[in-house]
Amino acid sequence: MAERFQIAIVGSGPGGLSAAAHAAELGISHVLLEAEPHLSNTIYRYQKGKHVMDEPGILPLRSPLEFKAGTREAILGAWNDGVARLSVNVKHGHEVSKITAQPGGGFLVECANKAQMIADRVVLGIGLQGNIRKLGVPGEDLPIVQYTLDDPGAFSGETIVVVGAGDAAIENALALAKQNTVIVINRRDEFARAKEGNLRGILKAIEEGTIQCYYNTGPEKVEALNVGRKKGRLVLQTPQGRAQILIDRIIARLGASAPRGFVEGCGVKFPSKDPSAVPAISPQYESNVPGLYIVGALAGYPLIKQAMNQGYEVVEYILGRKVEPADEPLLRDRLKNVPNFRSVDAFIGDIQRNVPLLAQITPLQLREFLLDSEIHAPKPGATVFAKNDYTNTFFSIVEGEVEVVVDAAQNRRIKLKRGEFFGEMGLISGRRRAATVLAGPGAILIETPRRSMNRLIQSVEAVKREIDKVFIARALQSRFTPESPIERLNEVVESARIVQFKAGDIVFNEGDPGDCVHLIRRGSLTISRQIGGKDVVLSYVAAGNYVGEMALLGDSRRSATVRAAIASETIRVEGEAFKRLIQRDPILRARLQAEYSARTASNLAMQQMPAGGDIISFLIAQGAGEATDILLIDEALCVRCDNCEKACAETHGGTSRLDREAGPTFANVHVPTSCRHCEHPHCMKDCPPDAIHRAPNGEVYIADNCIGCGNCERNCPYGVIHLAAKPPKKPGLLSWLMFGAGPGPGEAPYDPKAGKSSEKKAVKCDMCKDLKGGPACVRACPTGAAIRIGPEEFRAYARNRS
Amino acid sequence: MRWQILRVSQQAKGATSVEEDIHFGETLTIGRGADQAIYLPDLRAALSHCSVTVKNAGHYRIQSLIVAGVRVNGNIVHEIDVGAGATVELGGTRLKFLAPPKDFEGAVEISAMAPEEIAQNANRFVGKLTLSETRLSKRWPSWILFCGVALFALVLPLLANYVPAARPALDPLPIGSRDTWQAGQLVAAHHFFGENCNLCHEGNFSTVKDESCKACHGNIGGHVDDKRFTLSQLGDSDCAFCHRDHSGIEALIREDQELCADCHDGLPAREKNATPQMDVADFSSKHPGFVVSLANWDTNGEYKPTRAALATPGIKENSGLKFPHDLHLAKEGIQGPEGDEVLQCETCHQAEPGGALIRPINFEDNCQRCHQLTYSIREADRQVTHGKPQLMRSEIEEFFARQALEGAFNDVNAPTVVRTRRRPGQPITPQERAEALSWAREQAAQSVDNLFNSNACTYCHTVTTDDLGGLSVSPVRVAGFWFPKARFSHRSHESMTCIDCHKAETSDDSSDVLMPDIDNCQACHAGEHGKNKVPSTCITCHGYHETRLDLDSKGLPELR
Amino acid sequence: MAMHESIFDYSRYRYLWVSMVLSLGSIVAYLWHDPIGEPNGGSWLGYTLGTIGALLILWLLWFGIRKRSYKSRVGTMRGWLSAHVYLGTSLILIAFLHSGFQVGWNIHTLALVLMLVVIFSGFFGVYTYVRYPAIMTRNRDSATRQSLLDEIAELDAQALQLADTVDPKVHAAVLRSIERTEIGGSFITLLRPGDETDNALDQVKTFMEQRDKPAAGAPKKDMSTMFAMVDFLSAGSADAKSDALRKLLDTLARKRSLTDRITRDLQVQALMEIWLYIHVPLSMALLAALTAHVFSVFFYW
Repeated sequence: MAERFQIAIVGSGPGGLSAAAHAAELGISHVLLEAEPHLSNTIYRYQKGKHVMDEPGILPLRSPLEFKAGTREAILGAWNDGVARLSVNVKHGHEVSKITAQPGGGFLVECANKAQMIADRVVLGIGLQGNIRKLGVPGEDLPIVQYTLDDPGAFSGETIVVVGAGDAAIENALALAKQNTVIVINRRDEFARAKEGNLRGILKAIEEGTIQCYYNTGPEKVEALNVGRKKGRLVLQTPQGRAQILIDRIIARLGASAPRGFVEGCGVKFPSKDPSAVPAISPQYESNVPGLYIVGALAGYPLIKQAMNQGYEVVEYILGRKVEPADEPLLRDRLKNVPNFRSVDAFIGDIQRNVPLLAQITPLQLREFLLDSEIHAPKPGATVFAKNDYTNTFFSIVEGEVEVVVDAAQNRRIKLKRGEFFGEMGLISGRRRAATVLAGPGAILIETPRRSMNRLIQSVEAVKREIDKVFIARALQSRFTPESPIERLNEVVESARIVQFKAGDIVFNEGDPGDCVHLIRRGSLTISRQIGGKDVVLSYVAAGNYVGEMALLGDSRRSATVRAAIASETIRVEGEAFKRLIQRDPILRARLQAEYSARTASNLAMQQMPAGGDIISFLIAQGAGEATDILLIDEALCVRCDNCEKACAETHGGTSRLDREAGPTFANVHVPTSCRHCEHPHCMKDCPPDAIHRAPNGEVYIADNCIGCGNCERNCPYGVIHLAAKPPKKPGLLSWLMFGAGPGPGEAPYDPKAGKSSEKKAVKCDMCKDLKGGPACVRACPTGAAIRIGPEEFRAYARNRS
Repeated sequence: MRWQILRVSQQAKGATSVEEDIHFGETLTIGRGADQAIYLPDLRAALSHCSVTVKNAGHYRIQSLIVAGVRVNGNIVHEIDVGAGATVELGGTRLKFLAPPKDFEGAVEISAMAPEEIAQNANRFVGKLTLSETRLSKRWPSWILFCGVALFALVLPLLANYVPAARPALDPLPIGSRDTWQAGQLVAAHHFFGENCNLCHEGNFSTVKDESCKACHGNIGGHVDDKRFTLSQLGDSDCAFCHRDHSGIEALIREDQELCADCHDGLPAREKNATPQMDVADFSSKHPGFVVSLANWDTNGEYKPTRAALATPGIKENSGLKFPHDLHLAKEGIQGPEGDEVLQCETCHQAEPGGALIRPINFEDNCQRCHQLTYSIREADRQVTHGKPQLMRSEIEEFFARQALEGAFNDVNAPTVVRTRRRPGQPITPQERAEALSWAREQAAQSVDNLFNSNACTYCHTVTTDDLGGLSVSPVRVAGFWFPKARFSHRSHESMTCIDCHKAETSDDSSDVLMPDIDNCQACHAGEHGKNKVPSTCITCHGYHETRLDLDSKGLPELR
Repeated sequence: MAMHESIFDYSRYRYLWVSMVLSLGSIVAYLWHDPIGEPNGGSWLGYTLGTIGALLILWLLWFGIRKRSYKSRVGTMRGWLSAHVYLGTSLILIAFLHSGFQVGWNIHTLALVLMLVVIFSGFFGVYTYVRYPAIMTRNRDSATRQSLLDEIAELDAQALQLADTVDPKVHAAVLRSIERTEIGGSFITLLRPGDETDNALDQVKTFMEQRDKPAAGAPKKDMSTMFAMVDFLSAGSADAKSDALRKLLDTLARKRSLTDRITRDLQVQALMEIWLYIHVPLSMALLAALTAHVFSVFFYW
């Protein structure tokens, strides 16, 4: 008969660990099940000496285990001590494979190693990392088999087998191959999952013979040897049959198994198919399976401190005690300026009653949501945001109303009432605000940052649908018939649907029948035409504009080919419906005619000088398509003084955010490696402390609460973000100028040791938003070679250059 | 011969393992060829790259077998003798030759280089890529030049200024001397002390003081009568105001007319006519007519010349002399001792040596040749001395007395005693003497009267006779200095004739003033900015430093 | 709309106009002014122009500071450089008018000469700034310097591999040429890069002679791999390996063209910087001379 516990905690991450510790503290019978031989594997696998931050700083820590910013070692040490002190009942090597609710209440917890136990309550703290896939063959746990690689330089002169075909495997293999004999085992016949760069690297290495690769091959068994030079032997299953290699070590990078399957196996439901979706849980962290609780990253709380707090709280809840959530004081503080504020819960109640959009989500998510958001109670007439601001936050109206200034000239306004929302345009298109919004009487607004909003959209399907619907209607109206009521558009809106394009996808071809209009909702398109067998780019259309109206107005066939410059989304409006709209609306027709002729003219102009088109397509190729502001250097003027880099370094704590020399050049137009401030910044995608923001003028910058995880660095396709430590104070300029004291402007940090301080944070171009007068790089360019321009200027720029 | 060969291989985490083996042979060949004693599977090694032989215990000779040579102790050689401890680098491998252990002749340790070391060597061929990496620098040359220039252009001259002892050494230097501070050449006269700046400059950022000038130029007066008022009352009128040195060998004096005009233009108005000065600004456009000094005597005979503008109508000069210029300059000539002769101005008016001024006229030189003062027909060449009436009278009386007393004077009207010739030693009786002398007195009186009143003196002079019959000649006075306050040189006007300026031929009366007025000068001269005339500034005629020139009782300029 | 403006047409030639006005103004003043005696620095105009000039010089020197005070919001660098160039040029005139064209063996003329040298070195700088960037770009062909260097290293490896398949002698020769390759080095080599390509011609000549008398043995010290190669060819034992040899020749040719490109790149960059090594130190000397000039004039007033 299996052992019975009051609480079984699965996973010894920050959440699980602190839950177990609290249980132990209270003397409740508990068990902490951990697959690995050590605690909290995710943090354990950080590289040596990595500095771990304790964001959010404002949140108080409530957990028997201590935790404050410090090195990986220090933190793990503290936790191990704590666990030992409280004599937490940890069972290592227990990988839970199945959790089933028992008819008589309680759960049966079964482990991979056949161990079983009964628990009244189960707390899932397994995070999102999942479990590392092992070789799954005899000998997979031998010391010569490892599943991580901290420092490739640590090994030399060894024969090392790398198993796996993913990026991690390839990167390790390439790094090791420098001073080792490396053999790669690939279960498939190609490196399908690898990034472009890695793929090229490994294939080259294989071709040159510096790395040997077995395709369609799997390991059969690993044996340790104690005679001869080599430490072990690996037996392989190759297409040709069995083979064996003598090896010093095996490094297996087989990725991790996402926990979702397992969690769903436990009966927990996920709101959407989206991989980033997390299961819905009650304010008490209880999932839809009664008695099964979820804490930590899996519950949508990626930060260590949050997880630890939840670990504490969940135990309290299980004991049926009422704990005020740790964020209660924070929320209260956040809400204090709300008129006639009663209590946090009451306010949350209001929201759920008043705002249909937010009614969809759990109170817990809502708390989180509010914690990220700002609550405003602006005076009537106050500007919420102004047209052309670059903010991309999302507003929901809890009380009162706001006015949207559709047309400043004729001062035509639209009222938005309680429960409606606005700001979705900036959110989705990543472009400047389309209109000014003024607060109306008694307005109470929730301003939600892009990231939290996106998380919500992804995890709650209904929210997505609602927002899209409204977006389409408003987008079409504001673009086509700002002067007539939105109802006019119903037919068109009905016909409209959202279409996605990958970079380079063709929206429609020259000569196709013109059956629809595309209003670009995000991304951007290029218009090109076959001239003398060569594809000449005529124009570049950014989000918020439309293409395809020409065919509808004039000739019924497409006059040019339209491609997606980057991954884009358009609102496709059926041609028939649109035509009818035009007939109904003479003003619209007139405007379209005007824009139509303007566009034809500029297209003709472009055809005169194909060089301009080449420049545009060059810029697009450099990812300028998704840029909002890009640094260009005219190499006919650039004297390579690197003053731009120096200026950048000097104005940004000693590290330059741009690399002038790197980057391609075409017709003397050089695109250096520096931030383009993308419409949808890749760097924002996955930032645990949500430290990356977009300033009102469009600058994408990293706030101080960066924890130096390096996600943004990896996510940026342009390699413009890197981790840097704060360099020490420099001596004054004059003392350098006169006596060469210390490093010169833009030179390496004075004290090399200080450079190594492990507290590194991500740095990137912030367009010197804090300096008056614009980016230092441009201001510091003595010859006027460096300029920054936005996509709307590309056409003029190209024409001017050619 | 036995070689000990140690192969060192790196294991993980810095651990190393050493395998030893032995090689027999005279030479140790190293290369990529399979036949080599030490076989290096490295393309950077030739098949047979180099050979090593033992010279004596612990000493080796390394020979390269290819043109590329071999890198021993960091530099490429073709053949070299080395001691123990020498290292050979071949591609990624390092061979270290050691002192052979017991019963070995040679020993070598073979180890793979660290990857970063290999990487380093890989771009050994990359030198310094930018100037800033090279020895070139901007900083120290800047310092050197800055300090160098500062030393020679500033410090040394200052040293000479403050340390007189150093001057002999410093002042002659071609660079670093205070001489190099001179912006321009000194005026010629100052060259002899030019090296010693401190004679004029105090060297404390103050301008040159008058005292420094006066040290030499002490005897030069101020602008006007120092006794009446001093220079300082004339505003910024220190020497340097007009006298600027260091601007060429002779540009020391300021000559522009503005210099004077600054004050003198509209001076009377400013001074409420408290000053005798007139309103002057420019010779051609704003300059008063000329004023001359005329001879004049006050009631008690004191000579007090008067000043009168030439322009004053009917201006007369009373020189007490009768002299018609027209008569003397008559074209047809005038009667002289040897008949008629034509006179020129120069006949009487002759320039003084130097030619600036004209000699004063005097009777003996200029008149007497024609106007003789004879008084006796018998002795026609006998004349009286000019200019002293009493002397003339007595000369005549003495003459006749002697005649009478000597006797033998053949004149029928004369008394006998005067006519009879006596033998020598024959005495004359008192009655005879009285008679003779009375005759003589009579004769003398007659010829004096004749001389003074009838022909000679009255010709030119006015003679008055008092009731006692005493004769007196009114004094003659020619205004010697017409323009005491101006400078005029006849020398520099030699191109002209006298009559161009002095209208003498038409003057029939000596009371005419023959001095030309300003318009005459203005015919040729104009102010400083005069276009097509001779530009003449104030100091062309007037002197700045000349204190007032008055005429003393003798009509000569008083020198102060 | 932001556009690349060179330092000349910066904000519609603003500083060209400024300096022109300044120059014309001083010329007019100079002609109109009629000083006592020769025109010189001592007249009121002289002092005025002198003051203007001195202030100009100090301001021009300040450029060195401004260039490096990156936080400064006082105009843009482009504006400053534009003004630096134009006003610096007009300084020549102002200085001469100030001195009344008088020169002599004195520190005042020293200051003048230094100033002129500084300004003219600056002119050379402007020339390089106008001429070389485009050349550099063309020469670089959008490869970074490091990538070029890496490629050379790579080619070396390839060459060795190929040479090895050909003949030990060739291999040795290739080794030697690799040992001899030298990119950059002292500033002289940067400015006047090695004559690798220049003496290619004599090499061919030597080779001609060599072919006349194939008896000649292993390449002598100053014969390049190229020569060794061809020598080997002429030896006639190439039939089997001639293919590898072709490749090798290509590789070496490629390497040569690369080295040429890099050295050219380095040279151009060096040219764009070298003048500063005159411009800056001499302007410091000028600062000293100017101080002495002003000081001496008023010290012995």
